[in-house]
Amino acid sequence: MSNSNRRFLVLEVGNGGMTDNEYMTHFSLWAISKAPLLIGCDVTKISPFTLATLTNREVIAVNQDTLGVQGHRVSTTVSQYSDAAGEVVVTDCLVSSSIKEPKRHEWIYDSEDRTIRSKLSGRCLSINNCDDAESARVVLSECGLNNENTKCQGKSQKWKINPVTKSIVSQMNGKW
Amino acid sequence: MSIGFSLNMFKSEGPMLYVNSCNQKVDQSWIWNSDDSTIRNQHNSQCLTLQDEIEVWAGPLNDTSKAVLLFNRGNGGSEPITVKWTDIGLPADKSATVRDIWALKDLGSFTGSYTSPNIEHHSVMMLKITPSK
Repeated sequence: MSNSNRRFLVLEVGNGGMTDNEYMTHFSLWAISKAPLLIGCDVTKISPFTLATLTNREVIAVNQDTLGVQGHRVSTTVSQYSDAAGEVVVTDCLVSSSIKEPKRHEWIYDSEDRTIRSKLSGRCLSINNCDDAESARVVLSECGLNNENTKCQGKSQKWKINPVTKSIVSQMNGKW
Repeated sequence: MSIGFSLNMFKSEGPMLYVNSCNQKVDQSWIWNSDDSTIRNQHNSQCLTLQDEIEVWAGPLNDTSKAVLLFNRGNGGSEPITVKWTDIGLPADKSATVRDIWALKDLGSFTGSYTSPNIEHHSVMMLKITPSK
């Protein structure tokens, strides 16, 4: 990821939808990236945890350090839990983690139920949160096709791979 | 004519994966190979791959110390994360003090690397690592 491509918006800390740990993670990434720290929650209803997160002196000091050099990712490794993977990227087929464990880039396409499953964890390529909007994120999540209660009836996990057009089309908006 | 949403590579951040209206352009062209089980983008021949779950971020500060983030972005479990001095621009044989800046607590002096206690998934530990004089 090159620095010039990073986009930072207003802080989401305290807006709901994330755990306390996730808010600390979010604030930490903004701080080490020297992103502007703009409070995005309603400060008249701020919780003690949110206030403490937004006002940690030493974390803010990293953000405001006079050298002003952005931090960046310096190394990555694989979790010891094989089912922890949730994010899918398009990357060099010979990255070190794939050389050690080829299943990290191996997939099974089931042309009957239309799922694309990771060979590592058996989880399914899915549109995040059944989002039916343009540019919805695609992630790996638990397969839920046979569960009546699954959100969007599993459509977010159904794909049509067409070798002729080389497309992989989602069933999510029902137009395949 | 709309023909649905296609798997689409978005290059500027990652590259990550999205769905977008099908346009038959290269970012939506994928080659499924049932022999080696890969799904490669036709444009750059790269593979659909699970992203590494454990990340270390670092950047320099004005007093020669380093700000370091140990980040468990996995979806499960809790595990230690190691930062190696050589990954953050410090000599491997150098000792450095490590401070947990969320907890406002000094953790001690370490040489070559520091390994954290278990860090929950979706959580971080943020450190200031200062090389000894």
